[in-house]
Amino acid sequence: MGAIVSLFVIFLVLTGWALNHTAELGLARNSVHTPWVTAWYGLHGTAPTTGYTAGGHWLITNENGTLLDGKRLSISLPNAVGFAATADFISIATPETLILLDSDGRLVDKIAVAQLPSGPIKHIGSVDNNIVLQGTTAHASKDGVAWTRFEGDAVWSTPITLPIAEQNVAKQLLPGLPLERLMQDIHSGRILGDFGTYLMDAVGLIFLLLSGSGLWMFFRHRRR
Amino acid sequence: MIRFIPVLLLLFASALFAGAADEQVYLAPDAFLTDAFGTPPPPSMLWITAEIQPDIEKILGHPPPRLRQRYWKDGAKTAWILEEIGKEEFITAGFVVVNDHIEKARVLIYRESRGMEVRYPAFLKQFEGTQLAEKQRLSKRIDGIAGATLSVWAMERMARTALYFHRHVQK
Repeated sequence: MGAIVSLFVIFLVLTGWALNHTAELGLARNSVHTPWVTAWYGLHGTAPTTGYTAGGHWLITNENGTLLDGKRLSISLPNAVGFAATADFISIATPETLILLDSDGRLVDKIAVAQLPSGPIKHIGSVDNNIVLQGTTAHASKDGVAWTRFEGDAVWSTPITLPIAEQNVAKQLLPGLPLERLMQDIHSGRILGDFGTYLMDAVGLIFLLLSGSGLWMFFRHRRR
Repeated sequence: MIRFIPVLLLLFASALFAGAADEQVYLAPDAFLTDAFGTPPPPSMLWITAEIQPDIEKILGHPPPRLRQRYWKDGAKTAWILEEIGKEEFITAGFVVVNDHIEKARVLIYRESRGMEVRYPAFLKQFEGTQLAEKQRLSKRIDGIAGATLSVWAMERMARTALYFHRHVQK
């Protein structure tokens, strides 16, 4: 009995330590996408079927993350309205923000709409290596700092149906379970539903009995 | 002791299951800049080049979150709007630096579920007058806040970064 209980102690200590260090271990930032785990939790979402393309790059996004050329970006932009690829930047627009990335997908700058002259962004495009934003007005810029009023034709970014290769890439954006949640459920036994909860209750009861009997034996030994 | 067990269990459960709080805007970036300059000057850009990247990495404990930092400069005064993760979410804070000293520190946007006490003036006042000492540390000790340790550390890192950036652009 003691050996079995000690296994539970080790298990609870290890998962407890992990939960105490969720930030350092990145448990909340990372998700598990293993099919049987997501199926166990009833997560049955679908991968995106549309995306954006510009300059040979692909942008695919949904509420589970944002992929640029198949690489997950550190920021999630589910409400992206499109992107533009110019000589210096890959620029992704959401109604509230313009994100500038370098060719490796590293964040160069994040510009809030309040710092842009166009107002909330409806469309993004490019012309002659300039980023063009269409809000209440249209403005163009090479560097995202100096903007000039734009009137004319730009290549606007619009969603298109993903080709087969990109549809496979998009599977990375199937719903996942945050590792922190999975760890909490393993720690509490809740991963096995009501049975797991009662099992952990029973293990807790056994801990109490062992502690109680241990103390009883300790004091009985001292009295003698 | 036994009567405290339900309270402890409740605290433990709330700590485990507390969700992320909504974004709280305590001071809009534009209002912060107006407060700092009256009429803000046009923004300038500082590129986080390979020369300064190692120093920033030492201060932050991780690579700089972006390669280009926007700032506002009027003579010896600069203003910086920086972002740093406390526990899981970014905290946006503004710092005004004058002659290598922090003149003002403000929490602009807070997104974490706990630790928002760092926005209180009593805490932020501690940053006023601090400068960069040896090893890019702050010249004054910043007293922490119980329950907001990670947010306090994030504020300290941002203050050190603002002072470092200020010194770099004033060269």
